[in-house]
Amino acid sequence: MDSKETLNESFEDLSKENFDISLISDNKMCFEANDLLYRVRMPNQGEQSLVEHKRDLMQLEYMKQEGCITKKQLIAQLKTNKVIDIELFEETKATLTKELKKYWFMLATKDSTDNTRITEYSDKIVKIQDKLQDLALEISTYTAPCLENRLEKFYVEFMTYLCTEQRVGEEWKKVWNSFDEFIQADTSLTNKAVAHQTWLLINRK
Amino acid sequence: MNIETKIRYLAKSVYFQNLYNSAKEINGVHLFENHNNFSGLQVLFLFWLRIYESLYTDIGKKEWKYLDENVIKNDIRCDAFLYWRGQIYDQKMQQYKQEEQIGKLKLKDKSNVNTFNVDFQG
Repeated sequence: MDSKETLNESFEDLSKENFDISLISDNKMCFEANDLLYRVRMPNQGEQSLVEHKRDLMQLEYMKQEGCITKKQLIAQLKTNKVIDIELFEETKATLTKELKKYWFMLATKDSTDNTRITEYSDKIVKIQDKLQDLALEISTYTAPCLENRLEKFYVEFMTYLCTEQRVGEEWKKVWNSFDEFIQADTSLTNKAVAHQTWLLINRK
Repeated sequence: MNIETKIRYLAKSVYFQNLYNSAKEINGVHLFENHNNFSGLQVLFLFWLRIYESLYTDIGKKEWKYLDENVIKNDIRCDAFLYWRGQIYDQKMQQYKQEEQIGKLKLKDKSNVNTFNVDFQG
């Protein structure tokens, strides 16, 4: 069998599993909302610079606003007001991570025939990872009002406004003409677009 | 199934491993439609392609007692193995650096080293 045949066969295997190669085939991501087809795409250099410039301007704007607070200040305030101790959360995260590494170590040195131990350790790992995820979510919820997180949110939203397109006939057309239009748009569409844009940008900042 | 699981499934597939190796060797074979400005998902995919390539190579060489195809198939076991392998590599690297440092020092007996053996006057 030549290499082309092998490639074709393995590609058929992938198709049988119904896996979405479009996730990585290009630097765009399609999604459906309200029975319409949309896509988000990577920004070009000009758009990237524009978003960074807008984020800098927004930072100055936020800093003028009453109640503007940095992450460090917010964490201290949450602790002082006895709302929540984020540092304690971080310590719990560190302990759980240590525990996770312990089970990784134990699982890694198990032979494939040792099904009982593999299942036991795998279950423990999944539980620890779930706890870590919950903690991360809780931390991010409590720290959402801080300057850094608001800027991060603005960055992704502005990028989404620039890079979301709708399929119209044979063409892809920009969905929103202004950022204000994006802010006022149906949240079932904007939330989906932001989620997809976030995935597209993961590891890129 | 979450997006990272899907990405890993594609990266470990025979199809993409073959394509990845071809793309490294043959000019004109490309993994993606775009040749620059890669998305974060594409960067993640490239990362996992490299990782799974190293694992398949290690299996071929029978480098590790506990590494087989079942480990690659299972993401949790795969993560565990990658962590463990990383630890072993770190240990080896540290040992190598220590040996290299000892090699640079002028010692009477290199097999039994303590600070009294070092000739600081050089």
